[in-house]
Amino acid sequence: MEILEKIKKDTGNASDLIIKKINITNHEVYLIYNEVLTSGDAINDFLLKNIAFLIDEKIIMQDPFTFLYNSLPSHNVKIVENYTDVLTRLFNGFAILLYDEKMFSMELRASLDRGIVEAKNEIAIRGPKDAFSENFNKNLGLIRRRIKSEHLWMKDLEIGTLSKTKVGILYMENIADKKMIEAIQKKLEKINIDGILDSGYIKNLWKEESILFPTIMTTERPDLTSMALLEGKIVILVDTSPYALILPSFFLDFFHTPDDYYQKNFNISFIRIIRLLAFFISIFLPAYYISITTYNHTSISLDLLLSFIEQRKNVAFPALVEALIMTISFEILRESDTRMASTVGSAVSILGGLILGDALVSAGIISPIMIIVVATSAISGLVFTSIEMSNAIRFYRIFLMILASILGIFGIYIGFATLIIHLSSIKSLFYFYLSPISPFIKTEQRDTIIKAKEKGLKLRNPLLAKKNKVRGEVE
Amino acid sequence: MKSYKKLVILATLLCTITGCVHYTELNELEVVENLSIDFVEDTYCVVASTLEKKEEITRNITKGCGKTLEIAMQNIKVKENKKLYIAHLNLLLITENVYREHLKEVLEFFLNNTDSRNDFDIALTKNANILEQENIEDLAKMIKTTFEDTATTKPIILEEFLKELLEEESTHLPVLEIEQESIRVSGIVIIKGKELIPLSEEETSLYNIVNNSCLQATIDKNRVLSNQTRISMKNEQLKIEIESMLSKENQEYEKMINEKITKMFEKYKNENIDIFHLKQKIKQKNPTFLTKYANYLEKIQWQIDVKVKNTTKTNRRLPE
Repeated sequence: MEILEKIKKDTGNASDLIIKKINITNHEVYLIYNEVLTSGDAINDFLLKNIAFLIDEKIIMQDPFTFLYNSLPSHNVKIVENYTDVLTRLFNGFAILLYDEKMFSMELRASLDRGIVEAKNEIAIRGPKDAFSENFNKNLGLIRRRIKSEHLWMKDLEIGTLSKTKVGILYMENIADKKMIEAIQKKLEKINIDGILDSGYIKNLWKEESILFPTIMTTERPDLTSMALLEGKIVILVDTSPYALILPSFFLDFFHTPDDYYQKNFNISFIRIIRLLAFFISIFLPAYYISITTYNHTSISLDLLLSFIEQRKNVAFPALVEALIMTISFEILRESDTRMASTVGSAVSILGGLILGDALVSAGIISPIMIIVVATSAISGLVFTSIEMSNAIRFYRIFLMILASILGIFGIYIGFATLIIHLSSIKSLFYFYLSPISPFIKTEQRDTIIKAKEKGLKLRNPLLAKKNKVRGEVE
Repeated sequence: MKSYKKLVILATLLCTITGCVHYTELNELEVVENLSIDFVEDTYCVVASTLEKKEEITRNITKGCGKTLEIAMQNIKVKENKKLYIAHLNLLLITENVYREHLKEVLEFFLNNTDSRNDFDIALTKNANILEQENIEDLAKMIKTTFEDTATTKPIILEEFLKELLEEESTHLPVLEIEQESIRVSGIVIIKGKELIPLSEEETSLYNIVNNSCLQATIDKNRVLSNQTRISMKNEQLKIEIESMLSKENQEYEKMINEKITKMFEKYKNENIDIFHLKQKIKQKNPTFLTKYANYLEKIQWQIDVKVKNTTKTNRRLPE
């Protein structure tokens, strides 16, 4: 048959492409499928068994195509109208039945994902444990399970000239700002790339305003995604990616976790203060240590000064070099720990953290106090689940260390001013990143650092919610 | 992008105009704890006690002399070419002749020195070699402890000293001296212009009681556990109310304090010295009194009310 030859030719006679000829009461039917993408069990159980039944029973079919189209059990059966669709569906896990130049497809996709597993990167003590997987439909299902509303709408897109990746824009039709949805859709439609293999591709192609701080939140948690949708934010789901993108995302969003809404408000306010403190410690501590050891000796007490002098007595390098050695060592350790198999990872941590640290001190390369300073700063930077936020902190930490080594505490002031200027000048989508602190939104102050009682959280963020601004009162 | 370019240019400019000059690594510092300055035969002699922490804190003594204070400081020999660091200075000791002849130069040195702070204690010493004694301790702490325990001295920091000297024309300095090869705190000197009026330890305690600047004191073997003094003026009569709590009951205490204060006041009044700084108090309460009477010390009439409050008693019988 001409069409079969064309398929073979266009797919390079791929070995995983199966073309099976079946004779059903003198009618020649061809079953075409990709054995990797379609489920072998489903082909056997739902297709071949039923066809065998038709053969055994010698059922006479006047119009075999319509008969098979109506009788074969599949939840998604579609008539294929043009040749392009044949290839698209074949590579989407569909099986195609060809009879007399007419074709229909059945969805018999193989499950090539790892199922719904526990969140590994955004761990919560309380609350749901499930996380997104690589399966678009499952991810969508996890959100729909949480928001059982007809107002949860989705716009479908296909991005990637070769990968043809399914991308979904999810939003609450009765809350979210339409302008925002249109802007996101336009921006996604403009993306011209051959393949989207993860939501990270979209994030990179988005051209965020800040080269350092994340203005798009990435999450593997369906509960956080659902919270964002209810707030009036937009979610982007990408097939084959276990991470959803949330837009817009503000600076303070990275200080919040889904856990915050499952525990007592007083504890949460305390933890958020600790996170804010950790942010500042992580950025400023090594720089402050450098400034007090090189310029601003007067800013510490005499006892502490003498201790520092004693500890730095045998160190061969200036404070900046010492701090950079330690910071870079830590980053190498972190990187190797991330990439290394988990069985080897702990051994590397022990080797790097304990033995190497001790050896560096004994060799007079760094002082014990520098280990404390850099370790405290690095640990503080890890309280954020967002890797982009941790990276931004890391950059500012090094930037401030260099400034402090040139100008002392004055340099730290300059660095701090730069940080504030940078943060307050960037936008996530249309909104200022430092919102609701700058511009100040009074109603939103109840859920920034201090979390108020539930009564105080009745209103949605007025920036995002253009309709149904009061929670619970939905039209 | 333009803003980043501006920022880089600004940062580069800042690097060229500030910073780096004052760059000193911690381990290049020789931390000075105490400094004594003497002036003999047209030469400043500076003795510095520096701190070093090994297992315990140890003190090293170094000396330097020179025609000016700056040269004397530069001549102080510090091991391993370290930099003498005076920002954490605890105590500055000056001798009587430094005070009388070269106080201005000394104060200018510390006020103009960017490394120096002005919150260190300042004291007068009778012995220029006081820091060269063996086993010297934290002298500033010694003065403070003595003041808190017995009120036989009164510490003062450089900033307060300058303020009182300029605004009130009268201030004080605690005195340190060597007695039987050990350092002791011995009262204070009241400063009035170039004049130094030494007060004995008992007089210092009375001075502190009247000025309400102490809590604990020891007066003629009477232990005062707490003290509060109020000075008021009514109809040109000064009223000094002293409320003390004693460790042991003493019926004679009120009379004794009254007599001692009056005697001390009279003693210095004869030398035309307002020993209790009453002028300031009168100025606050009744300023016309000072304009009315040029020689106000002669006209002061006072009444001293001493109250002994809640003497500590124990009702429990002690085991025999």
